[in-house]
Amino acid sequence: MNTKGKKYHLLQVIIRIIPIQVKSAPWNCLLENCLAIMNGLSFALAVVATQNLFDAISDAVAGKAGYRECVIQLSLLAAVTFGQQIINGIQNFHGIGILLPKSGGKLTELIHKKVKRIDPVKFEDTDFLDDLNKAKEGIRAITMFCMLVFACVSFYGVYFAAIGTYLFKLKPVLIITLLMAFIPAMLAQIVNVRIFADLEGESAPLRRECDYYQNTICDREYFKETRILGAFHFFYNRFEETLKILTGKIWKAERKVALFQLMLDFTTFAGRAVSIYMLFTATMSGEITVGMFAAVFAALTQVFAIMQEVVKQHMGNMNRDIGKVVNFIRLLDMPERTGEKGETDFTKGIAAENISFSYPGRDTPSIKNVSLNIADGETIAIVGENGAGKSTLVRLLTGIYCPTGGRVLVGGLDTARYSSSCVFKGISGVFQKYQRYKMTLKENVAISDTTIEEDSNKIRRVLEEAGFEKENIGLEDMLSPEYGGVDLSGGQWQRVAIARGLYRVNGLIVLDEPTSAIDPIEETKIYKQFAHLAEGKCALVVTHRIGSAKLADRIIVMDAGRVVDAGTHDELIARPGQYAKMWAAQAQWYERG
Amino acid sequence: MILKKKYKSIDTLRLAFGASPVFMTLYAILSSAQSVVQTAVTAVVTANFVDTATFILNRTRPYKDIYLALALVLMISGVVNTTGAAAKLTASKVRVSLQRSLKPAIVKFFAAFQYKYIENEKSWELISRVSRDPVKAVMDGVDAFIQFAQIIISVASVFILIVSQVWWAALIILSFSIPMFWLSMRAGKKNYQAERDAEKYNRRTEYLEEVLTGRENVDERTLFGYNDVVNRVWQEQYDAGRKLQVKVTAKNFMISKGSSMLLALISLLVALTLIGPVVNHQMSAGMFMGIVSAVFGMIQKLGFQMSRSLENISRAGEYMKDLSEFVLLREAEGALTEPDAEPIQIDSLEFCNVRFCYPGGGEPILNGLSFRLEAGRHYAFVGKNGAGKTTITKLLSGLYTEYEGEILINGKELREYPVSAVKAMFSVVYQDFAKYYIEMKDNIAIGDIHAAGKEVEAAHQAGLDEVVNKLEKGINTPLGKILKGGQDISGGQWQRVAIARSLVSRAPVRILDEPTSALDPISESNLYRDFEKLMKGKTTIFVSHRLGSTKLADEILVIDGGKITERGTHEELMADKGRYADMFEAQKEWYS
Repeated sequence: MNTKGKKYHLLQVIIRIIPIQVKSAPWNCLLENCLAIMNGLSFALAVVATQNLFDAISDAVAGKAGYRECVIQLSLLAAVTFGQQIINGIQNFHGIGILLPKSGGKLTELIHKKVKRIDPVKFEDTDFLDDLNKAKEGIRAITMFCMLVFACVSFYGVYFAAIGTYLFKLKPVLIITLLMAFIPAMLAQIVNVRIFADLEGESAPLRRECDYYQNTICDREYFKETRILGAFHFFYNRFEETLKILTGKIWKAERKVALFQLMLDFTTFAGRAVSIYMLFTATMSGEITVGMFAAVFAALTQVFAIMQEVVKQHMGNMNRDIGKVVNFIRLLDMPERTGEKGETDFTKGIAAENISFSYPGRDTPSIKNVSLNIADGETIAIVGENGAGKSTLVRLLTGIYCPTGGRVLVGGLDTARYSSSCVFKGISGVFQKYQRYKMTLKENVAISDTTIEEDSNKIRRVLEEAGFEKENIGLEDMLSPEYGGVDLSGGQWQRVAIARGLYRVNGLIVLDEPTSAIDPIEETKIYKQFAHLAEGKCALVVTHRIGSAKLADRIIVMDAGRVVDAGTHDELIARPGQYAKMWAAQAQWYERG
Repeated sequence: MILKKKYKSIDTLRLAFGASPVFMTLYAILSSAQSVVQTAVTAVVTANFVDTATFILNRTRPYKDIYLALALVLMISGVVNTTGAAAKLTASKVRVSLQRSLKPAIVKFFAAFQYKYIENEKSWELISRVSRDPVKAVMDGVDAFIQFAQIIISVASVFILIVSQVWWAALIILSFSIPMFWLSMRAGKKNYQAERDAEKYNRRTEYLEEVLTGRENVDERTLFGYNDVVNRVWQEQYDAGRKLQVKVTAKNFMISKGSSMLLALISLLVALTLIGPVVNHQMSAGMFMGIVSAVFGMIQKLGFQMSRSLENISRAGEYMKDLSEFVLLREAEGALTEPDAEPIQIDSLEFCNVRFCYPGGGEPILNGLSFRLEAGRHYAFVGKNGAGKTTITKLLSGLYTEYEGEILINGKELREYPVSAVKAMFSVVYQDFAKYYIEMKDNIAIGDIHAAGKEVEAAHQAGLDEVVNKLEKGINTPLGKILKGGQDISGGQWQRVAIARSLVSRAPVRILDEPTSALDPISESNLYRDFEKLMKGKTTIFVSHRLGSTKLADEILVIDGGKITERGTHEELMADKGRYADMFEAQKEWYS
């Protein structure tokens, strides 16, 4: 799923999203349309009421009617005007205040549910993350878009039909007026879109460049270094130069659009002139009254303005938003991870059969031809340098990722064939990037297993086991200063993460040692705890200090996506391999004097 | 373009006028003309046509009289149709001019600020707000003022027309319009408190949404499968926030509709007032129709336009208030200067009882820090996170100058050196070193802006040969995806670029500041070794919370609580059996 994917046409998009929108709030969509129809009718009614008032005035001047008739007609106009204002107000409020947020909630849930079913490996793909963000932006756009579609049919459609009928009744040929208003507006829109699309294509890279140079001076990421290096003038000159070219391009496009707009305005004017002329001849031949002339003449301004509004503003907005809407649809259309149901049986251990794995969009595989068997109750340590593929291998062995070649059997279940919830049932973990949920202490622990009732005793027990030491923090305390709670130190958070891992019933646990900034004494404590937790269990421990691997039943040595060696610490240290080299590299810091 | 002064919302017009006097004037004239033509002039012309037609139909005037009336109607219609595009074009010109003058002016101001404003959340927010899109902010203000002026002009011109017809009717209209107009303007003000309450729920749902769809926790989310439960909580919070928001929106709509209704009432009353004069032949039927059409047409737009333009004016006012604060922030002396071409040779560097607090940061981060470093030696600073190690580099590089105590370079206080000299003294590879998405060559060259030509050699020394050979245009290839033809390189390769940048520099002291954020202990060790090899014989400072660096150092300084707690060679510190020895033993244990 990226922007180069399938193209969607306007009509396709409309057909696709209207059901989604209607389903998200069916009654509100119906109400919205009813209000729009009433609103459209009231606009047309106002024209008739104005005409009647003007006729009464003409008659009054000619002595054919009195003051009373005029006031009666004015009261009718008043009723229509106020009614129109009220309907218009209700419609706007209903659309913006009720329909939009209500649908927004439902559509966001659609995304949440979809994300749950998408392959987690996608989250390593920056294109996907981009698209996901854009899809979220699409939520509001969808409802706005649908509201516009509703408006076009129910409001503008009704309005133009009513006005058209009125004009037709006055004099059939007057109906051409509507066409006169429509064609130039439409043409202008098409050309506008084209010119600005061209401009966008040309200027987008320039704008990005220009914004970037500004960032090298002003962004927090760069500010300090740019100042100390004295590189201000270097970047500022580039910034100004790009800005000059960019604004030059924009101005040229604006001029082109304005010139064209002017031409179209003349066409619009010509259309209006023809309409006025037709009205004029009808008036002079006595087919319509002068009151009608004045009312229709005033209404013409409105017809042309509303036509411009529909075509220029709304269609422009639709055109702008369609991209966002398409992003949403694309997300919904993405393939999902599915699978059969099954039960894991950890006495069968975990087996990787010649697995390979590449991240999407990357050429070189991250894991190459790895075969591995882990027996029930065995503790495995995985060692290797940054980027050797340790974390990727763990994700494959637990079924978070599916291999691109070969297969992984977790407790007898093929991770690619069986549904992930079945595979994950007996697996828990403490990850390197463990989460600091801005929730209560209780929730922070119990979030690892939401299928069982929250059990306070169990939560307390695992916290104790994990070495969580803050006696004064209760289970219901919020762990976030932002929400009026307390903040924990890095070491205590790590322990909450361990408790979280322990809380989930498991036959296999993944323990990824932290590399983040904690001081050496704390680091040692936590590494020891990991070793302790893994004892006698089926466990995968990712270690960053080679020394802490010693305690595992077996050590897997990884380099550039391959398993290059395996064995116990004593076996590995005895032979001249990668392990011994890494051991020496780290141990040397501690051999001094 | 921008001065140090207090800005008000009306200054948006002044800024725009300053950027493009001719087009700004044209914009104002065209917009005003459009308002008058659309209302009063259209009314007069319509009246003329209707009355003439009526006379002709009554056979009191010859048929040919109608042609002039018709021509006028058409002409006005043409003017109305075309001034819009012209006004828009002038506005675009003003916008482009602002882009060229205002934006660079803001960037220049920004670049010169004292560093403390950048790190302080509150001032940073202000700075970000002001610099995000100054042109849009100013232009929105300008447009709002023009729109407001258009409303006033429309109303005034119709009013004058009425006065010219029946002056007493105009007085009656004036007497009820003014209070109602005032009321409807007042009603446009919004209730911000209720909005803030709803905002609280929004923040919570946003966080939960991050939990449900973010990248950071994808492993835990997938394995633990908590999506449904968290989604339920999200839903509850969202609905609670939504219900609160509906109330706010309802209130706002009632208020703004109330003001539209008032305006509608005005127009109806105007029509009512004028019926009398028409029936009594004080005003022609055509004039009545023209005026009533103009008033009704105005009302449609007015309610909406008025509240919006007022809102935008007050928003522009907010922006200008921010801008006034922005321009008053203090500049760092010599912020934009380049480092001296010839750096001073440093023999000694000394901290004497230095105390330092981050502005608004409470506890002092450096609390009586004293040490002396000699040229030509390697030093390692170790200590916990938050012990103040990075702060030392920020003081040295002159980013912060408001410390107590003294920092002496060759016995002279650091603050007494010209800024350009200080910039030339130190070369720092920060843990969050900058990845400039420009040509690799320039990326390295800006390490010493006075001496180009050393880039290839430095890239070679930093071990970048392999990368350079792989890049399409070699060392001239842009890095990152910003420039055309740019290519990405890995994190480790970026680190080497940063080291190469430091290599071209002729600064006498080089600092390697905690390059550990993304590195495991093994990679970190390798980095130290590379760096040490390249910096042989130079004065270097390693800053880290790990102990790997200490083996390469001639001397180790342990920092805790903003002070040096231990200092000496490794052997000396081990013999002292202090905190350093504890840390070292804890790690050594793994390798015995």
